[in-house]
Amino acid sequence: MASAETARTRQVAVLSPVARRKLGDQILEQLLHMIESGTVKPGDPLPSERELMSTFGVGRPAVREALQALQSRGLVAIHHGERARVLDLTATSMLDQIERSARHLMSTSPQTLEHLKEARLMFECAMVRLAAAKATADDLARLRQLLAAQEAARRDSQAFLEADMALHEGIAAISGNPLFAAISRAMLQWLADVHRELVRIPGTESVTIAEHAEILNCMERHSPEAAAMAMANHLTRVNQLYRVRKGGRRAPRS
Amino acid sequence: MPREAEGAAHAVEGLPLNPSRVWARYWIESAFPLEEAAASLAGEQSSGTFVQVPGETAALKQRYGARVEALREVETVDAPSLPGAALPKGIPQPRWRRAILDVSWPLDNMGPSLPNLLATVAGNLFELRQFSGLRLLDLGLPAAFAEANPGPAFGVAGTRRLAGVMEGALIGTIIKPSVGLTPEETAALALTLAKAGIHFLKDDELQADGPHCPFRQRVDAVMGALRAHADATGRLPMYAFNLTGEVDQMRRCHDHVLAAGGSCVMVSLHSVGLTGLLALRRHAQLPIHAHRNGWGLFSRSPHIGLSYLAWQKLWRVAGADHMHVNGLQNKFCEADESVIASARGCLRPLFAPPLPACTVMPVFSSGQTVRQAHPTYAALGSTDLIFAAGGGLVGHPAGAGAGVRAMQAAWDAAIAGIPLEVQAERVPELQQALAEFAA
Repeated sequence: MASAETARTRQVAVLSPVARRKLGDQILEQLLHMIESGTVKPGDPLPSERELMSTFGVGRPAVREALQALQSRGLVAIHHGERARVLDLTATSMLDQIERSARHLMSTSPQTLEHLKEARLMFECAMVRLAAAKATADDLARLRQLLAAQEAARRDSQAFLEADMALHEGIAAISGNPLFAAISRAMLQWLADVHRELVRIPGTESVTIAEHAEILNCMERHSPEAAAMAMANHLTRVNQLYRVRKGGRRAPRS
Repeated sequence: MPREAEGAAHAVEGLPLNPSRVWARYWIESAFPLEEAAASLAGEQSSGTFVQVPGETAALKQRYGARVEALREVETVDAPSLPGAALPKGIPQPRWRRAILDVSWPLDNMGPSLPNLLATVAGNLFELRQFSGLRLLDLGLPAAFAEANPGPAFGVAGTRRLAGVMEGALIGTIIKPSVGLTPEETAALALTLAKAGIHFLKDDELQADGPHCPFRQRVDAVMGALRAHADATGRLPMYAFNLTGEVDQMRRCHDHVLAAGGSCVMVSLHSVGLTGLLALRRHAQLPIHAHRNGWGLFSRSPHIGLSYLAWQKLWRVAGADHMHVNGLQNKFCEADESVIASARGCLRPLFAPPLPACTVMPVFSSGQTVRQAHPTYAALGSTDLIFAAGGGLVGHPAGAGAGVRAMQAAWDAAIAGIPLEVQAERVPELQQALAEFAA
């Protein structure tokens, strides 16, 4: 208890009063500095609103504004009646933060959607090259399980998509770099957000399953180039299914 | 029996890609010990000849000889499939063994030259007496081929852009009667189809530059009609003008189409060869619609020839943008699985990123009607295709325009997952087409 008290005193000690305008922003900056410098760690509570008000010498609205900004950035969680708590950020939670913006951008800008498809094609081919070279027997067995799960989810579009993301993420994770796995998941998520119903096209699930199986076959032979070709084949087909729709079936003439 | 689809199963997956070697996979049949037969093929297609010659040193063979990479026996049969095969001496009751054979060559033997690649992987070997069956199933090309050859300039994306059809299958047709119409009659039919909303039109391969319908007059008449239609509606269908001919003539014809505001040219691959297509591609500013007439020579017998999967790779590297793949339930002898394997082959990247994928639009044709939309979409899992129905569209009982509307309705239903019969209740033209073109 005493040490927690001391810690909090230390936290408060690094803060100093701010002057006049953009109070919320200035408070936010200092709180960010606390988090980034590790003065408060993931799981730790921030000082209470009251403590912050007195430390900064400001009213409640400015403090709330700063805390809400932290929350919307995914850096802290605020539950009613409790002090804000610092969240443990991961590559995945970081990318989750921008999903809403990504969804908006992809569904309003066909050009950005095309750029995303191209980026994903390049990225996933690079991932599977790496994975085909590095995959252990355990990695491959895990991917086979993920594929079996996807096959079992044929009739449920949401589960089919989840299984799809898990498989691509699983391939990227073999790199050993969690950022790759998170990016793989996020890119498919952003594409899927554009057209949820399109991830599962009645009657063509078996094509997706067969393409995934071919990718795994190439990985099992530890043939990076063949695996990259199989991935390129899969994504080239899938990419044409993601288009921004404007009312009718056919896009207007460009 | 290596039906095309079974060949496809051997071919699509797993041919190693090597930056400095060309790989080829064959189906073979021989009464000789398989290793011996395979070695004779590798020798014949590289440094060897029928006798040992002084210059063929061990070092030369090591460097330039073709290599047998893999040999997997599949089955044994009691009789040879092809005439003209030799028998090993001293075997009273010969058996003919079938196998899948992988052979590789150093890229240095031929360089990234398509005509010379063909002489290597599909040259004299078909005549070797050791074989009673020999078929090229697949090719693995080094990246150097992507760098040295033009590849498709338009492919799927460019074709969609020029045709103004950003999603869904491109609904197309072939001007019929194939021959006999004057330029004006051709233009009148093209206009009717354009008014009904067709996306793609093409000459028949028998219609090129004959005196009864000269190329230039046909282009002028058709493009006059189509451009007037485009001025009024904003929609210009793509018309593939068949310019098959000598190289200089093809270049001039291409320029004429371009100047007339056309957006596609068509060529018969078998007639012009790889050199002809490469010459056209290096000159062209329009997509090239590649017609495969003559293809049956390579595919009719399952015991000799080339699989479509191997064959189409050559033309894609050379620069075709659209490749004919036949159609489901077609009027010819090819099986459905084979057609789908071919179409998937066209949409399959030839090279992995960052090299160009060289994917092309598969063109479904031959006896196609509204009945093939659903099975085609389900099997391919893609709408990146041109669906060219000639008689099955122009032959609609209520006219070509109704034929287009029926076909579009069939494809809309296929993509939306609506059964054909249900859609037909809403679209009278589709109902009529179903009655006319019975299953």
